[in-house]
Amino acid sequence: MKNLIDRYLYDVTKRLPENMRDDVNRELRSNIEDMLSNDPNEAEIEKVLIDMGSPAKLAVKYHPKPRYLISPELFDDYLTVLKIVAITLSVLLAGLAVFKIVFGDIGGEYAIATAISIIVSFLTAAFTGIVQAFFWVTLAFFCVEYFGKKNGVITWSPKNLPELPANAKVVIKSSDTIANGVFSTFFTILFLAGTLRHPQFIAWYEVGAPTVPLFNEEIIRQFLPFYMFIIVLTLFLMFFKLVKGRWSVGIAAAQTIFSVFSAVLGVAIITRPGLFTDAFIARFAEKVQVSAETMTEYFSTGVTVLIVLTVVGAIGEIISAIRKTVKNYK
Amino acid sequence: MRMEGDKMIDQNLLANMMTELRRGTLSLAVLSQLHTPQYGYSLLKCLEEKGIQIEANTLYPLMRRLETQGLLENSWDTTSARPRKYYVLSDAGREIFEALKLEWQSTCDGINRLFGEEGQ
Repeated sequence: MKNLIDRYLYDVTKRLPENMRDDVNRELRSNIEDMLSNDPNEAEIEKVLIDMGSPAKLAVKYHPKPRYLISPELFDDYLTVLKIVAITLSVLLAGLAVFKIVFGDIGGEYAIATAISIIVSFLTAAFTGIVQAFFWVTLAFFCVEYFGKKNGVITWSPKNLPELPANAKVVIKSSDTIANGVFSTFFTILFLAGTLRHPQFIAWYEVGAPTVPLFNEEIIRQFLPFYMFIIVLTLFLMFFKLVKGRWSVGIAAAQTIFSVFSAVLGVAIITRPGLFTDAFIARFAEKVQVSAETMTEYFSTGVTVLIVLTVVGAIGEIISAIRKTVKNYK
Repeated sequence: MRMEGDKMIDQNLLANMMTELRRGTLSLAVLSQLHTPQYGYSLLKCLEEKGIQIEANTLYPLMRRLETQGLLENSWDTTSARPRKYYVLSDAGREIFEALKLEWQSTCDGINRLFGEEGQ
């Protein structure tokens, strides 16, 4: 019978710092025994223990330190930072993982198997990114909590007040930013995988004839470092936009640099002679019953159109960024 | 929900708010009874007899906390069959108690004035 009380006391004191365990044990035991008759039966003991309440809750009242990891005042900031870092990190790691596949010629000839392995590593890496973000952000906030409170670092002052939320026209919607970042990264990687892997998936498929790839692998490979750079820039820009949430001179400048760089890259690639494989042009010409030269001319016209679209698109992005920034400062 | 005429009183909410109301006065109540040494259960009974509602699982940790804050002094009585931890006001405790008592009286006056204004 005594056992119930012993076990209760153990459950309470095991949650307390070592230096107070013995004393609390003695004190609480004598308090509980005072509430019982001289030779209590089990039912009586149980009733008193139930009145005392759950050991976990009681231990919280005895414990000298507050029982939470992240304090309520820091919690909102914690969630915000967590969201941004988790998204950025998972996109980054997912991109890297897929790159590894593009570089290494793992897997066999089957396009479907390769595609599945790309998707699986994308998802796994994205998940890893989220888990890592959780760990590091939580650790960082715990440190701020612990060391900051010790040294009284967390003081608020009117100087630290945030800017007013912008009106709708000037806010950068985070869902747009994220969708944009994720999709452009994903499609760039898919494009690179499709052109650099063996067998290449971006190609002309025809039953009974060998698959003819569209892009010249050599040329794409030469541009690979630029593509990697663009992906990194995309992620940086996405991160900036998420953190700031509104247009500013800094973000407009970053957007301009990015748009210019990707337009230049796009134009440089498109105008490279020999970008499209001769085999593809020949096959296409055959099917449409024109000569290879005529087809090449059509391709050139197409390229010119693409150049115009790319440049116009970039200019449009830049003008839009500038206008929104100006509105912000009004 | 209990119906009382046209009004429905949320018993849960009422119970919580009453606990909140009492919580502010607990330390004062405890300090007031410790001019002479008492142990946990004796203080619990003493307060109950005087109509102060307090639960055992609130009182016992509170006594420890007041001691950590330097307001009480403790001593273990190992003479009787059951060893007991006795608490009594320290010098600092006595001073703080007097100050709290004045504060309580002025708060009461303030609240009563508010009630008076409302014609309650």
